[in-house]
Amino acid sequence: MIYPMKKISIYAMKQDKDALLLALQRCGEFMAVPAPEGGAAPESESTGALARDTEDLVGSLASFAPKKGFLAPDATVGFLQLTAEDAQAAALEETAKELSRQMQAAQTQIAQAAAWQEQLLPWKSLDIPIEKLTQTKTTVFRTGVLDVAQVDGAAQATREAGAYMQVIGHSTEGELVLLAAIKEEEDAALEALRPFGYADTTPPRTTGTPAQAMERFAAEEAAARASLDGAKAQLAEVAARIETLQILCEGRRARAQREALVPAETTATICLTGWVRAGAVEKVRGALRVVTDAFDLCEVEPDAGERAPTALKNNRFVSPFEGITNMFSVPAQGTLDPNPAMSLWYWLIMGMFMGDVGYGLVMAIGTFAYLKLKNPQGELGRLVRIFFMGSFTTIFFGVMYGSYFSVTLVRPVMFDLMSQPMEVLIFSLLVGVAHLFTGMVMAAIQKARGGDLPGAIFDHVSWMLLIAGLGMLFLPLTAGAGRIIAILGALIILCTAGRDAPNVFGRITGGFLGLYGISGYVSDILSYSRILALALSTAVIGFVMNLLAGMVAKAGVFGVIGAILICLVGHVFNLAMGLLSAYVHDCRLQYIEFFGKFYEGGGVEFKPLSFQTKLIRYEDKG
Amino acid sequence: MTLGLMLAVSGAAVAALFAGCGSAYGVQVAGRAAAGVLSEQPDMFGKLLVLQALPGTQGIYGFLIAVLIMLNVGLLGGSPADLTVAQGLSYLFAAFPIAFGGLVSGIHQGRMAAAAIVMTGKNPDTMAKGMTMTAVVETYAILAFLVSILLVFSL
Repeated sequence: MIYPMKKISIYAMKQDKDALLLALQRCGEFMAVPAPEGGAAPESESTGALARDTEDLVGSLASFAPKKGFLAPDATVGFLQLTAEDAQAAALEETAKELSRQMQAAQTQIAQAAAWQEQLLPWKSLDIPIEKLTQTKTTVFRTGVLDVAQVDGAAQATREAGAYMQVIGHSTEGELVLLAAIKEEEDAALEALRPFGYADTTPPRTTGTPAQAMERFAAEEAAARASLDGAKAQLAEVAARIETLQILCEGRRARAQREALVPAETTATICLTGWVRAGAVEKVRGALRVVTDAFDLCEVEPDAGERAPTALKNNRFVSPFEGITNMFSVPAQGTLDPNPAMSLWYWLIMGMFMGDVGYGLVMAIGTFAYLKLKNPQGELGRLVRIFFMGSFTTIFFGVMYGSYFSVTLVRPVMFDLMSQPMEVLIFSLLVGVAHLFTGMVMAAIQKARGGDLPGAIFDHVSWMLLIAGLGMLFLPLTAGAGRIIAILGALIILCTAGRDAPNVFGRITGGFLGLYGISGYVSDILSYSRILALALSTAVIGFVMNLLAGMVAKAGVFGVIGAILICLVGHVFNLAMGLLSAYVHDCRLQYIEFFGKFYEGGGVEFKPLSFQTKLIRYEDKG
Repeated sequence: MTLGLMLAVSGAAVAALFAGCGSAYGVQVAGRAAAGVLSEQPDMFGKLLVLQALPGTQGIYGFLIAVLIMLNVGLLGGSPADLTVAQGLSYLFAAFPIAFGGLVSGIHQGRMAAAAIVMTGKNPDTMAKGMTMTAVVETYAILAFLVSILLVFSL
């Protein structure tokens, strides 16, 4: 069901603005109409950025925080904690930021010191301080690199030119050499070296001998490592209080959401306009009255063409499925809510896809335990609840197919998948026809409600007659009646499909074109053959796993262990793949085949101003 | 072993082989797109994994047909049947729909899944639309699989 909505305006004094917004956020029933200019207040940008900063910080601290068990309950935060200005938390954030900076600086320092040491390593045996490698009054020093094979020849050539050459060490480019020559003879020595491919290269620019410099950088690296370890240890201490930071972040996010809401204002007053569920107006009034009496809440008429957001009200069975519809499109205000019908079909078809008592039990126990221990909310919570409910139909159709972890323990009630595929195929198509008929009935209801009763009969009932009649032709008993019904349906379509055309000629072609729509219905119905395909693939994979396990089990004790492993891994894989396929193809059948018949969507989800926390669960405990 | 049995074996082989190749390619293309998106948004792993796994079903269908053929001709837990050439060829042809349907649809579903993954990366709310569009491609693998399975069962 779709809630009727009321548009309200709240007039209040400017000084009460923050307190009122907070009350509205806590009440969680008011969705503001976007400001006409669409310009958000600048402070909301900055608060939002602050919240994002804190969130990043929390993310980087997560690796230091003590590990929680997978099923450990999530921490919660109450209203007062979330909205309080906590100076301690802000201080903790500053500490954490400073420590993060310290950690990064230490990491950079370590990397730099290591790079220096690596560069200096080939020069290590040079016993002259690097800064002194220039020249004396009479002598010049040069350093360079030579190919290993050329060293001996080059040494001799240098000696003959009256200079001195010494090998220092290997580098990736070749042999590093030190060249000493009398100033006047430098050119001659270089000339003599040229045939050997000598090239100048200098040691890294630092001070002291390379060995001394390396020691210095090693000491620097050790100091940086100590500082890094210190920072990490302190960060671990901060991370033990990560909840404080999570609350800080969520508090800022909530504030940013309030600040993003810009009321129209005069010098002394403000006016907030937005949507409220029709039944919740008094709740909003009550929430505001706690803050002040100086306000006025009045209902206003929506502007022409303005569409109210959609809030859905469904029972506990249907509501998890709302997420599936919303992923397609949110129902529009004033249309039929497709969720009750859709959820029932989704539930049934999921069972037909999975169809195994063993898998159903595993799903039921697993999802039930998860729901009890973690109480997941939001999208994930909805999905887990769908799988929990789906486990019942899975067990039901498991009994129908006689499949217990892909073993036929009891004689199947309906069909054996492996030996009666044709029967299952026909059953799948019949399910498809029933599903499509549900959609067509919804379409007819919608049209009839809109005052177009003939349209409902001409466009939807006619097709149901034609399809039902064609189906009845297959049974000898009903073939006669089927022929009449089918012809009746076809005649209605032929005569009415072109009724909007301006002339007789257009109406006749329209009629025939309308009848051609049968191809669409045929492909829709055939699409349900996937029920057979997926049910069979789950059954056959499970069967193969059992077969393999059975073969391995014959090989003694280890064989039995291997068989158990194969069964475990194989069935878990099969269950996971089966669930994925069931989820996706069940969605597809709803979206394309079912929704295609009647559903338009196009609504806007009702998202009231409220505490939407990501990092920590919000619970209003007063 | 008769020539007929060999033909049936080749039928099982092509079913698993080509459909598996199609899925391997499809999952790979989608996985690479997902890896790209994940480098920017690591918290989308769950959503993207679902999309990446979609083109993986063709390989499973091919595998299933291969197993069913092996079961039918007694290669799994039984004694191999003496098939005539005509019977063996029938098994081979029965494997063709899923072999080639799986190969081609796996490749194309993978490309579709990659596009859906990029779309989901840009706007997470569009995931269901991407998933549905990707599942539309799979319809033809399912139809091919059904034809193969009905043929194998009827032989």
